[in-house]
Amino acid sequence: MMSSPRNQAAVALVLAAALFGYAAVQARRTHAENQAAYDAWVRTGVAPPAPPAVSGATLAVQERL
Amino acid sequence: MDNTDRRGLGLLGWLVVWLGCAHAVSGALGLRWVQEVEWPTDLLAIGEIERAARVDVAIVGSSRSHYGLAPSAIDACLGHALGRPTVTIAANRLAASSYAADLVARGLFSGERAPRVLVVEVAPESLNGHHFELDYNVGATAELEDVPECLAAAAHGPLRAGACLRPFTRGVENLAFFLHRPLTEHAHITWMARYAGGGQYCFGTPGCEARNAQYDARHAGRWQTRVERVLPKVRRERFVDYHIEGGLPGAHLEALLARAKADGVRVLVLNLPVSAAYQAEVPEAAYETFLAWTAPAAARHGATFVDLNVPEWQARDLYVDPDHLDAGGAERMSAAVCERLVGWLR
Repeated sequence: MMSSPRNQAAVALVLAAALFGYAAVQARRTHAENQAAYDAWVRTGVAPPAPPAVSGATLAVQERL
Repeated sequence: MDNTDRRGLGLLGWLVVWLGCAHAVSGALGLRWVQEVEWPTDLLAIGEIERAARVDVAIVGSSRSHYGLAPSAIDACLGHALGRPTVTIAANRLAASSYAADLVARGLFSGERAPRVLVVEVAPESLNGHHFELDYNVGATAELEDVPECLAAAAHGPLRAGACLRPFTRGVENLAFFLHRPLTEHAHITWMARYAGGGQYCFGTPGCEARNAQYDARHAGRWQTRVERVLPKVRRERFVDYHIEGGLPGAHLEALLARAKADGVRVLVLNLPVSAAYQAEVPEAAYETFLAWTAPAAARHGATFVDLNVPEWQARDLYVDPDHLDAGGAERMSAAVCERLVGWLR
C-alpha cells in the first residue's frame, strides 16, 4: 500500500513524468507532420493534396458562434 | 498550525508545483498556441512551421480577416507583381479584440520572426474598452507578464480578475486540449495552415475553388440566420459603454504599432468592410469615435490606416453573413489589399 506521503509523491511524479513524456512524443510527431507536409510541398513545387472538406465539427462550432 | 493546516498547505504547494511544471513543459514542447476552440486558425501549425523564406505579410485579427483575407490570393497577386514568390500567413483568432491581435503578433510575428509587413485588422468593436469578449481574449492569450496590467484593468472595468489568472492554468489546459486532439476533427484548418497560409478560403487550384464553393453553398442560410440572431444584439452586446481611451484593446493596438516600428515592420491597419445591414446596427457616435481615434494612432507610429468599410464594399452579394465576406468577396478584397502592399515589398 502506498500510504506514506513519500510513496504518494513518488507515484504522482511518475504519473506526471509519463504524461509529459507522452505529450512530448505527440508534440514532436505533430510538429514533424506539419513541417514535412510543408517542406514537401515547397521543395517539390507539386500542388498539395486537395483540401479536405470543412468538417461537420467545424460547422457545428461556427453555428454556435 | 495543526496537522490539517499543514496538509492543506501541502496540497496547495503540490498544486502550484503541478501548474508550474505543466506550464514549463507545455511551453518547452511548443504548445503555447494550442486552443480550446480551434476555429478559425490552427495557430499551433501556423506558429511552428518554419517557412522557406522570411514572411512577407503576416495578418492578425478576428474572423473578419479570416474570411476576408486569403493568403493564397495575396501571394498570387504579390508574386505576379513582384516577380518572386512571397509568403503570406494569417493568424486570426475567434472574436479577437486588438488586445488578442497584439498578443498573437507579439508571440508569432516579432523580433527574429518579424515579417516585412504586418496587416492588422481593426473594427470599432475590436477597440472597445468594454469589448464583448474581453474576458475570453485575455484568458486565451495573456501571458504571465500580462497579469499585473490585466489585474489593474480589472480593478477599474468590466474585465473579471479571474480571466487575468488564466496564464497560471494554461499549461495544464493546453496539455489537455492537445492530448485530446480536437484538431483531428478539423483537418481542413491544419491543411490551410500548411498549404495556404491560413484563412478561410484558398485560391489557385481546382480543389480550393471547389471547396470554397462547397463551403459557401453549405452556408447559404447563414446570412438569414445571422440577421435574425446576431443583428438584433449588435448594439446591446458589442457597443456597450463604447470607449477606446483607457481600455486594454486600444492600449495594445498602440503597443503592437510601437513594437512593429521597433522591429522595422511596415504596418497596415485595416478597417475591413461589413455589409450595409450590419453597419446599420453600429451606433454612429461609436463609429465616429473609432475613426477619429484609429487613424491618428496609426499615424503616430508610422503605420498606415486604410478604411475599406465604404459603400462599394457593403453590397449583400459579397458576404456569407452580415459581417463576413464570402469567397468572391475575399478574392476581391485580397487583391485590393495586395495592391496596397506591392510598393512596400519591392
